[in-house]
Amino acid sequence: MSEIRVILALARNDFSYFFRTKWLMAVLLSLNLSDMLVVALVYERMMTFDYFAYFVPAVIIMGLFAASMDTGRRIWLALRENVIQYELSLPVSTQGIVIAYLLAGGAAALVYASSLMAIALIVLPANAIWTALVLLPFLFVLAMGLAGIAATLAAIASTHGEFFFAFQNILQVTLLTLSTVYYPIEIIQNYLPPILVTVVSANPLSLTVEALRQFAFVGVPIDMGSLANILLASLPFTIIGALAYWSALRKLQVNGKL
Amino acid sequence: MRNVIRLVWFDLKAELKPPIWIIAGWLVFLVRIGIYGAMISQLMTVAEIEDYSSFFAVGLVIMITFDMASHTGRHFVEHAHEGRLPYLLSLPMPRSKLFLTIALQGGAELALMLAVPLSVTLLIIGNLSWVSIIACVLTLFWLGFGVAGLMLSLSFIAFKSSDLYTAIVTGLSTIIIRFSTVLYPLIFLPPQYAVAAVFSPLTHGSDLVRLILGFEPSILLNPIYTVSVLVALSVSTLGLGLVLVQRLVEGVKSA
Amino acid sequence: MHAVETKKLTKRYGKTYALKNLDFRIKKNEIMVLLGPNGSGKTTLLLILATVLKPTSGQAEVMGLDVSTQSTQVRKALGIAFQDARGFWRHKPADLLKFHANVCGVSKSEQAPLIENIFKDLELWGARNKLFMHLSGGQAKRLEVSKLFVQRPRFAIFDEPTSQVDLRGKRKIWAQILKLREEGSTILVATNEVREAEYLADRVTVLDEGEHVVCDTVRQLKDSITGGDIVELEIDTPDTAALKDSLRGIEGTVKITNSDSNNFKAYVSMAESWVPRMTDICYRNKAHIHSIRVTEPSLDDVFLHFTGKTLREGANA
Repeated sequence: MSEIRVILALARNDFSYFFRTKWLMAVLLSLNLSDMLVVALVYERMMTFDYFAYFVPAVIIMGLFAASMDTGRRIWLALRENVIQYELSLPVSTQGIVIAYLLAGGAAALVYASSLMAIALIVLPANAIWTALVLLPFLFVLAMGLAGIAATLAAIASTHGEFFFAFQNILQVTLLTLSTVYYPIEIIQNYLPPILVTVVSANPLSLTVEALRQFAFVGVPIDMGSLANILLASLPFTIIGALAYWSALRKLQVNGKL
Repeated sequence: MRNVIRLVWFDLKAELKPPIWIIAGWLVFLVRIGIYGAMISQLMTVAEIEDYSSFFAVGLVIMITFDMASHTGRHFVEHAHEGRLPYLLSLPMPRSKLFLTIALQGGAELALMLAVPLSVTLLIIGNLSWVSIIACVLTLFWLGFGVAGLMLSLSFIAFKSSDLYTAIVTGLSTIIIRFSTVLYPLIFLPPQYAVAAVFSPLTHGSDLVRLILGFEPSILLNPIYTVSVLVALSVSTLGLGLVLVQRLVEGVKSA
Repeated sequence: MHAVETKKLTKRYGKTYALKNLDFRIKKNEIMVLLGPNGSGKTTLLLILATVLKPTSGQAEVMGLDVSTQSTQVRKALGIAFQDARGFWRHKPADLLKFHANVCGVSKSEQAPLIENIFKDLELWGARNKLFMHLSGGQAKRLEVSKLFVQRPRFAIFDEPTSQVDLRGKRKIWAQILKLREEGSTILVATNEVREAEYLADRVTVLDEGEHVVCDTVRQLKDSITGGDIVELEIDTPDTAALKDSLRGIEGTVKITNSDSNNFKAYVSMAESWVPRMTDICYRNKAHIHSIRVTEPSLDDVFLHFTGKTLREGANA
């Protein structure tokens, strides 16, 4: 079987694993749907700003983010349970294993986010639904980048479960908080120092959520520069994640443990 | 009683090596209150809430209390799932004392987790008396025990399927928080949501704590009502949990 | 060309040697059993051959391919059943085997009947739709070895293939391993179960503390123990002392003891040549033989002979 086929088989395996984890599906769906249908509605009543229209697209990105980050948990589990040794014994290169996990992480997150998008389009009719479809490949690249971040964390923290979940929690909250997912950039500029404002602006979550809001929901014509920025912001994380996971696997092969 | 303390300390020591999860919890709180709370409060324009960031800080403290109390139930399930429960059941102590160790350990972990967030929240609100601080702490622990009792009572689902238990508990947790007054006052919830929120123990916990800390009473539930609900919750769920630990846990195989 | 060959293979973790200058060979289409207690380096050797671990120094080749520089090609030629079952917890056994079969290139038309036959033979058919995390230890182990029976690799590695499995299951797994060899595979089995080694081995390699101790057939290893065979005799004889002296004189006799005038115990090197000479002597001495019982040394005795400790002691060392 060719290397590509084995990579795809491994990726399919991990992809299906994401959807088989019932408790995770329960958490993600209840979190994202209640954010969309409860928090957004209630906050709108407390602000003069149309927070519902602002936040609903963001929930799609939050869902994509959480689902991508679960890649780290699955990698951590594979390392802890020594399933990774089985994968290392398969007729595929170490790089192939890394690619499979990142592909699976990206694909699973995209499928999950697409379901949220379908719900969002019902509760908040969009002005340019077809643009939402155009954005899907960019969401996939973002998801792979986020999966890369999660893989890096798993590779660093895989020996201690408590480290992994603690670091993941801190990272998730920080990335989401330092973005325009919850609040507009104008509010951020009034409060945070310039360097953090730059971080917020460059955050791939901010770039993607703004693209989704403007192009799909508001109906502003697509700006290729914005889409290119999403790729530029996401791809480095994908590469870093791939390298981190690959070097963890190498370390496992040399030392017998991480 | 010595054995109870010994067992609590034994388990707690393992959980605290290293205490990374506690420190992470504190850091997450600081990021959320320092950035999210501050930003969102700039968008809030309701007259009833003078300062949303302090309102939100209390909400975060309630969420931490809820999370830690849920963790107590999950911890019990882990004991069963990882084979430690038969060992605990074989120890020379009555089942009621075993239950007490679970409760005490949960209380100790809650105290540790709340140390920084609660201190920061009280500092943000400021101008508080010792009575209100103590009353606030007692309310949080009372709420914690009630939720822990609820989660312990649900933990027996795990003996059929730990997957189902985790799905129910974690799904329930997120919904309980959002259908409550943890993040927003009851008056701003749509009527259908407000009906559900009244049944959430977190609504009663958050409103009582906010009343004690001096928030505007008109947006909060009647304290007689909240106190009654919290007392009833903790007595009933802890009582039920105690019965279940004493009667049903023996011979149960974890799924 | 050997199927597997290592030259001065070494694996070191800090100052500890898991394998030390190991020279090891497996012939094509043979079943080599690796015998040694826990900590002897068996699993380390297996993982290096499977390219899961990298050696510190030395060389290892599988089917003429270097494990360090041609690792992907090596993995196309082999399959490994790990000591602890490695599963994706939320997948079902049927799905896991199908996945493994797909990845290892088993044709789609062959997969279904092959998987069904293996499941039925190893009594996993009833559990095929349970989640992996709900399988018992024995079921998980049987699933682990099933992967190789479906894959049928050119070089199959089994790390303690029947641990946690009941006796009936053991025999079925052994039968499948023998069948795999009949189909042309070369097989390496690591075990510290003596009965398993005796049942399966064409040759046995003894490892102790990461070093090669001895390698030979089971028969030769047992015969190499001087006085390893024990012959217990019940004989009616008019002159016990004279008979004893005569028996002592037979070639290959190490020691003769008698608990009374009728019961003798002879420690001999090779019972098969000693017994006929013994019966001849008894006939000439007008001694009447009531019973003869021959006990061979076990592989545990072999291990003790070559290393100075039993397999169990080696594990505790």
